[in-house]
Amino acid sequence: MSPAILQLVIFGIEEAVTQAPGLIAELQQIFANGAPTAADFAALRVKVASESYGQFVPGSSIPPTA
Amino acid sequence: MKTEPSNLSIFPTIAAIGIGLATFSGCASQTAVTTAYKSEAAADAAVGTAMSAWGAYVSANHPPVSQEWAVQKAFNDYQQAELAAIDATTAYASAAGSNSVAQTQSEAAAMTAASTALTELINLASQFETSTNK
Repeated sequence: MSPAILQLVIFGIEEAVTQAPGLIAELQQIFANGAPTAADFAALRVKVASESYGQFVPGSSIPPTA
Repeated sequence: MKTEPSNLSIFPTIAAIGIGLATFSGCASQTAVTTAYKSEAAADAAVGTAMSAWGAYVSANHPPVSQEWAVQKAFNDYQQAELAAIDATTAYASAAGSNSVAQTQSEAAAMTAASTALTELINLASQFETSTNK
């Protein structure tokens, strides 16, 4: 990773500390873990697959999709 | 309880993290699988935060439905790219050191596609927020 990109990422994380503490807590948990297991990959896949637009935008004007 | 940002000012921050995640995909070492997994998990966390911020913005400002459709499509595109990246990394990990150059390139391409989709999603929502507030 180039120093410029690394600097950009560090800046982003520093900003997120103040703007989105929930995200930082989640990132800390992710990066504190060691090598991922097959179960970790499976759990991540299930989590991503289960997410939907309507879940994040409960006040949406568009109808939910199946 | 997760504390979410009340507006979309967090988006440039998340975009910066997303750009960094894309560059992790080029690692070709023993820690490549661990790095890829953490990048994918972090991307999902970042998108969750971004989408929650978009959700709060929609509730407060009621943007045009066309904008919501566009963000929903970008979210769905990201989700498919993220799932493809997870599958590619899982396959890469299963090969346990016997990966071909093609497999390595495929895994890196999937990671890059997921990062690109993430960045497009965040840029789109951020652009709508900016145009609505003008």
